[in-house]
Formats: sequence, C-alpha cells, structure tokens
Amino acid sequence: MPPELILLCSFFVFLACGLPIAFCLGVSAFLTGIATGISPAMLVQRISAGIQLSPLIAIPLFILAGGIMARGGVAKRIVDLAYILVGPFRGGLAMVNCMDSMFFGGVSGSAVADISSTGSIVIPMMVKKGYDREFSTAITVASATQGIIIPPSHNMVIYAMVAGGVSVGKLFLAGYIPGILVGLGLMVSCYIIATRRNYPREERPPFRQSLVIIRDGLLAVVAALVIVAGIAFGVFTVSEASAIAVFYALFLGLFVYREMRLIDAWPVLVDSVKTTTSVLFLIGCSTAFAWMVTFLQVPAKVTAFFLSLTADKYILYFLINILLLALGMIMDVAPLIVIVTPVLLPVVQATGMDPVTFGVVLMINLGIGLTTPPVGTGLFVGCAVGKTTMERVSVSMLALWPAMIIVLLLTTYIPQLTMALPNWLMP
Amino acid sequence: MHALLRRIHRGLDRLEPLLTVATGGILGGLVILVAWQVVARYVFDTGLFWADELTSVAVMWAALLGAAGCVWTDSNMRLNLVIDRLPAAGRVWCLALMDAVVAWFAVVFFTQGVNLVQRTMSGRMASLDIPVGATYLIVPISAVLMAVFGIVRALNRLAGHYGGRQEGER
Repeated sequence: MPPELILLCSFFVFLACGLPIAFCLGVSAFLTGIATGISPAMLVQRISAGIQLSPLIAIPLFILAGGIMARGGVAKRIVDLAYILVGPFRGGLAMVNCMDSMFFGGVSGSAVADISSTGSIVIPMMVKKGYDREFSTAITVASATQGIIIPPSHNMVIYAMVAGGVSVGKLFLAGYIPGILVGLGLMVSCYIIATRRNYPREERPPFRQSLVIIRDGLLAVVAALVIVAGIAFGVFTVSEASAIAVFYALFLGLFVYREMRLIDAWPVLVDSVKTTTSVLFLIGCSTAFAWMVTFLQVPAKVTAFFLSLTADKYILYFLINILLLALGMIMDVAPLIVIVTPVLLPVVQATGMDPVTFGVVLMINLGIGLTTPPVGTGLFVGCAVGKTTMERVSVSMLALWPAMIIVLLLTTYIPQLTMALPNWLMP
Repeated sequence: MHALLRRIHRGLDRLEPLLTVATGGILGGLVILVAWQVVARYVFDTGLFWADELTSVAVMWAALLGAAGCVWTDSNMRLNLVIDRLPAAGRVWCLALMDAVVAWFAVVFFTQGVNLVQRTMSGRMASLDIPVGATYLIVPISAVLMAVFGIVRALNRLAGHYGGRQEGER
C-alpha cells in the first residue's frame, strides 16, 4: 500500500471510530513512519518542537482574556453600545446582535464566547420584543462568526503557526474588512427580514445616558484596536499582546465595571486550560502529520490533482471553498486549520494566492462551518443559550447564509479586501 | 477486579484536578511573565533575556500536562458523527478500542520521549542554562499519564457497559 494511502486511510478510519483528532494525527503519522522506515523518535521530536514555540502562548491567553471579558461585564457594555448605534433601525435588536458580535468578536476573538455571553443577553431581549426565538438564535450564531475573522483571533494565530512564516499582524489586519462585511451583510439580511415580519424599532436612550454607555463600551472596544495596532506596528509581539489583553480584561472587570472579583478569574482560567491545552496538543501532533504530508509530497500531488480538474484558478478557488464548507460541516475550526493548511496552502500558493488571503478565506469558511449542522459548535451553543432545537434554527439560518457566502466569494476573488490594510500599514 | 478498578478510578479522579491546577498555574505565571516583558522593555528599558526560552518550555509542559488530563476527562476534540449512530455495545467497544489506541500512542511517545531526554541531556539551554533533556522530561511523564488514563478508561467503559454502570460515568 502506498504510504500516502496509509497516512490518509488510517487518519480517516481512526477519525470515524472516534479517536480524538490530535491522536488521529499522531497515530497515523506513527503508522506511516513504521511503514516507511522513518524513526518514531523523529516524529516525537517534531511533536515536542511543534508545541515548544513561545507565540503559542497567545492562543490560551486570548481565550482567557475573552473568558474574563465575558465574566467581567464587557459583553453587557458592548450590547448597550450597539443598541445606541443601530437600535433605532427597523429590526434594531437583530442589528444590535450583529454589531455587538462585531465589537465583542473583535475584543474576545472567540465565536463561542460571543454566543454564550452576548447571546444570553440579546436573545431574551429579542424574544421579549416579539422576534422569533429561532431567528434570534440564528442571528446570534451567524454574527458570532465575526469573532474568528475580526482580530484578535486565536484561530488566526493557529493558522499562522501551522502555515509557518505568515505574519500574525498582517493576518489580523487582513481580517478587518471581510469581518466587517460579514456583519454588514447580516445586518442587511436582518433589515429585509424585519421589514417583512414587521419587527420593531428601538428607542434611543436619553442623551446623557447614551454618553455614559458610549464611554463604557468604547473602553472595551478600544482595547482590541490597541492590541492589533501594537502587533502591526511592532510595539509588542503577539504573545505579549495576549498577556496585555488578559490584564486589560481584568482591569475592566475588577476596577472599571466592578462586576467580578480576582477569585472569579480562577474558574475562567481552568476553563481556558481545558479548552486550549487540547488545541496546543493538536498543533503538536499536526506538526508531525504535516511533516509526513510534506515528506510524502502530498501537497504536490493534491495540487496536481486540482490542476488536472481545472486550469482556471477561479474555478479552483471555488472548488476549494466547497471542500472547506463541506469539511466545516463535520469538523471544528482548530482541527480543520491544522489538517487542511499543510495540504491546501501549497495548492493556492501555486496559483498566486497570498497566504494571508487564504488564511482569511479559511476563517470565513470555517466560521460558516460553525453555523451548519450536523457538527456546528456555534449552533450547539446557540441552541443551548436560545433554548431551541438545531433543526428549527437551521431553517432560520437559510436566510442568513447567503450574506455570508457572498462575503466569502468576494474575499476569495478580490484580494484587495484582505491585502489593502496589511499592504498599507505593514508594507 | 471491579473493586480494584474502582479504587484506581477514584485515585485518578483525584489526580486529574491536580494536573489542571498545575497547568493553570503555568498559564497564570506566563501571563505575568509575558506582560512583565513589555513593562521591563518600555518602563525600565531592559529585557528578560531568558523569558522567551522559559515561555517556550512552559508552553510545552502546559500543553502536554493538559493533554494528558484531557484524556481522563475525555475532553479532547473528536468526531462523534459516526460512533453516535452505532448501537450501544458497538459504541462502547469502539471507544474502548480507541482508548487502547491512545495508550499505544502513549507507549511509543514514552519510549521515544525517554530517548529524546537521554540524547539531549548533555546539551544546555542557551539562556536558562539547564540541561535541554530536563525540559523534555514532560514528554515521558505525560506519556505515562496518557497510557494509564487510556487503559483505565477502556476498562472502565467495558466494566460500565457490562456491569450496569452508566457509560457517562468516568
């Protein structure tokens, strides 16, 4: 049996049998190593080296910062800020839901943290004002995908680590325009739906109260801008930025909003430990898998396969998007990043796509995957928060996916949308 | 046999929170260390030359300790799409077999980890000035934990299924 087949078949068989994905990667690399006479010692060294990188600390720390912000009252301030900005439009609360995700996603970088924190505030508000429970949940889930596109995003850090040599600062800057476009696209969808269903407008709070809300909300939003600017202009590294984000989140929660005590940070830390150590181990095992993939020249063969299907790069990108959307329906974001990046990045690079653009395209695809059944983490969390079922929410999602797909295609085919900011600010 | 398994199970149940505390402690310490680097650079105009090396090593320790804990709590990400559609007995046997595969992986990880430690023990870290091999000690340590957790989980699943205990119970 050819070693490529041993690698891929063993991986997919173990995956289907329910072996944790990190071990699927490691075990299939070991088995292929045994079949090809490659010492497992080298693969173990690859796994250790893959997690012995200081920028990796940014992943747990960004998740920790997001958790502290959710616990410390940032989510409520951001919802209030969005309420003032877009509440008075027709279907204002649905738009608030989109805009708070734009802000909170920017601050926390986690779609799931966004759904569970802002969703638990906005969904009951929407239901109380007469919105369908399913639509309220669907828009919460769909808009939360901005969290992995708008920086800082720990998933972009994972991509940068796996892709190797891709600047995190450029990736962060590249995510702004597509992320905001996703939000705007969803807001347009909300407006159309709200007009048809006659959803209400909201009244803007009195001027003085509005000023206080804007001040409190901006204190949180500005943090994200400072973090991204600091990385982009070389003031601090991505790992330093993540540590600063943790301290800033603590500062807001403890001293500004005063909604948490220092002791409350421990359960959040334990939570992020459980979430992120499995991701870090996944990255380690993916390093051994990616090395084996490269050693067996799988990317070259996959590139040749895709180019044999079509010589037109635009059709090729379309096919890759279809593949990523299909994979996103059955797998979570982090595992997919570490599995598909070593295989597909060389393919798109061969056709001239910048790795930064591909990173953002990958994030949008996998973000949509979070919202799709049968395996959509965002959808699961959203249904739990919105107290509804996946089947019903999926029907409501049908009206929201077109906006996200349009932004995905625009991002894929118009590289300026991703590259304009990095080229301008980090030439 | 069941009584022995239950005692081991209770012992490992007490061990896992310690791993979480250790990993949480490492991450908490790194938050302070990494943020302090920024303060040291911009406020005191100096730098901690050893911080980057320590961070890299600490991330590896946290990742491997945490990953071992995740084997026990079954919180590593997996695809449930296929196994959820299997009949109860098939599902239990399939997952028990996968726990055994985890244990096999851990055994390879252990033996090669010991090799790695031995081969690198003579070298020293550039700024921390400790043996490189010492930093890799976590590889065999975490491997032992993963192997034990994997084997006990597999036995536990089978004992739970055939002994009438709920499968969800660790």
